[in-house]
Amino acid sequence: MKKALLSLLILALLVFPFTGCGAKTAQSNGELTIAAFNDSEFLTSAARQYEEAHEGVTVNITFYAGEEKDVSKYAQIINTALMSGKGEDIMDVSRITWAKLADKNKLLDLNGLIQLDSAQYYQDVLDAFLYKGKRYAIPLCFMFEMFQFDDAWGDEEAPADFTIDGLLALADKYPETTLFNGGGGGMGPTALAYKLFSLEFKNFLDMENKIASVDNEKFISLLQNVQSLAGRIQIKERGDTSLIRQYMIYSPAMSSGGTVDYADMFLMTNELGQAGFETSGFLPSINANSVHPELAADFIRYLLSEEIQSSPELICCPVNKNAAAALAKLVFGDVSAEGYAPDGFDDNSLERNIQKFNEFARQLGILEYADHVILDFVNTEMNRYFQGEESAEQAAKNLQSRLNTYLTE
Amino acid sequence: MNQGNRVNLRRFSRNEKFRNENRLAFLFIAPSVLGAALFFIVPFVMSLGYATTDSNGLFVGLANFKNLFASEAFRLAAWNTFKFMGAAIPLNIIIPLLIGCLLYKSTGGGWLKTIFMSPLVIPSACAAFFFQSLFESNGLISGILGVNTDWLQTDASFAIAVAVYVWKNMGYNLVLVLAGLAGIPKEYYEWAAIEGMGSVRAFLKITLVYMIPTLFIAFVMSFISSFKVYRELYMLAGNYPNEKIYMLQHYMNHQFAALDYQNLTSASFVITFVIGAFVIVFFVADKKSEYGE
Repeated sequence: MKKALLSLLILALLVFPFTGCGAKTAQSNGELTIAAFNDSEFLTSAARQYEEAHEGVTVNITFYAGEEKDVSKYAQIINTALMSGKGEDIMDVSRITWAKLADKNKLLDLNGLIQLDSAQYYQDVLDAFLYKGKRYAIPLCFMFEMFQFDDAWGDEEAPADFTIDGLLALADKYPETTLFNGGGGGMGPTALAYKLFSLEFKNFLDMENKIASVDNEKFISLLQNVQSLAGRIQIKERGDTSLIRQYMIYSPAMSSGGTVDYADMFLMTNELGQAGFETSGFLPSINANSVHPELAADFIRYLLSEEIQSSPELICCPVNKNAAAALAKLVFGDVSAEGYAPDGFDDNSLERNIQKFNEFARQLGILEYADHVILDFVNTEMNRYFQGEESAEQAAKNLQSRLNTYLTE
Repeated sequence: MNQGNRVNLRRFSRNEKFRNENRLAFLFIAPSVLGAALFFIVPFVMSLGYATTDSNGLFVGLANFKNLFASEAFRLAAWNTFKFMGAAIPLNIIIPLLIGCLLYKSTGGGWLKTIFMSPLVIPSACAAFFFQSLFESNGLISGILGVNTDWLQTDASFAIAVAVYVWKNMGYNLVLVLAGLAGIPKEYYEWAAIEGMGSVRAFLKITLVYMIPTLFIAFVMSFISSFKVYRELYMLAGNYPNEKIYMLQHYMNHQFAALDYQNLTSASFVITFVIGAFVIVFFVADKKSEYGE
């Protein structure tokens, strides 16, 4: 009898640790749950304001990176929750290959839930997230690179469309000159090659039909063109100047170099005149298991509203046009008050900047960092080529093989 | 009490003791059985639901299996795994057998045994670090050859994977081989020497024949451990390695990460069926050889 009791006790101890494990579940009352990767003051503050404006609704946000979890762990938590019919109502899919979740019907198509007026929002930026005609994720903000010729090297005028051909022509015209200043995110050979690759993304990859076409002359010549410029792509010594200045634009007023005049700026584009952009921070989508998707959609609409998008806590340019202009004026006002505005740059200059910014935003149709796995593949093979570990042909063959595996899994 | 009653009483008490012992044994193995059922058998059977339904839970019959076999990535992974097993398992048996025969005959080879068995206890991360320092673009091999090549990203990665597996696992088979060799009576070799049998012939006619049961165990263990090479490959070449070393474990992990439980469970059933079939064939072959059929 004693042995039997002892065995039962051991059994109970074995089973006990496995009880109580499980993902957070969507609530059926007025509780809205949100899963986010990085801690965000913008999101926390917006949630508090939403609670104040909507009596009876509570918004609970879990920041997973704050719990010392890495991106892969976060993706695993989200996947497991979705698969077991659970998970938060709104999920941050900025670090997840959300197209695969959409293919599995785990995310809601937001087209039916959230109406996006093109007069109110930067529509091309929003539409770059469409997948198979559906909208599973809506960016809150965006940023992109702009370029400008340095006066020290002549009086080159800003081109309407600056493509790889334009860059090669300039390189020939100024054979001794370093091309980029390496500002913004830096512009090494791999960064330039990836930028050119992303501008031609749709020619290299058909994500909807899972087809990769990189083992070809187009990709090989892209690598070889950039290689021909290697050593002239980024200035190496402090004090040197380059032919082209490079700025990462965070709002109609601000760039990586402070407040700048957009008058003679230009974008790097593909042959269709489209330029690339990035998004940053929280990228909301709605869990298909959510028991109150309307409430979740209402919260996302709130995040897209002019009032919330005008917050300086949003770390890149708002997708709401009015908010972008309002935020630009607010930030420029602060900069001017502190005496940091550039000489001759006044409120009129700011208005021109906003107008020019809106023109540029209409060209932003390409999301540069959509799939982190593909980004990693492309950068790895490009790096190997530029470091002399493999030929351009071998890099193209290896990339084709890895993409085929990834896309056909 | 007559003779018949005494016999019945003895039989009754023996049966009672047997029943008590059985009950106790069942009680002790119950946690393991329950654990295996709870975490392996029941989920495995339940996963048949995923394998026969789509992501919306609608029954699709064998469509997921059809999709699985249509997947280029699955076919590549299955073919690579099959090729890997075909190359690595025989080497993981032949090399320990030859080393075992040499060590068994030599005197004072204790330190050599320690060297050959040491990879068994070296953590996978350390082993991966060691092989990386050999084969990366700035590694020893590239340095010797005067090139700048990351060998794990070339077609040579398959041979490296086989070498890593054999290096890491041959110590286990070496233990089995040495134990098996110790079980062969020395008189057989003395008799063979008197008969004028050469060492190669003695190896083929005596050693190999008496080592068959041991080699069978080594084969089964190598078969199972060959699936575990993923750990080292992952640390050496990441989750999307060169296509030559993209194994079934890579495929399965990615299916889980991509939430594709339909593909994942279908692949699990296919792999379980194939492994099960192989194991049954091995055991039937072993039984037949045991009874001299």
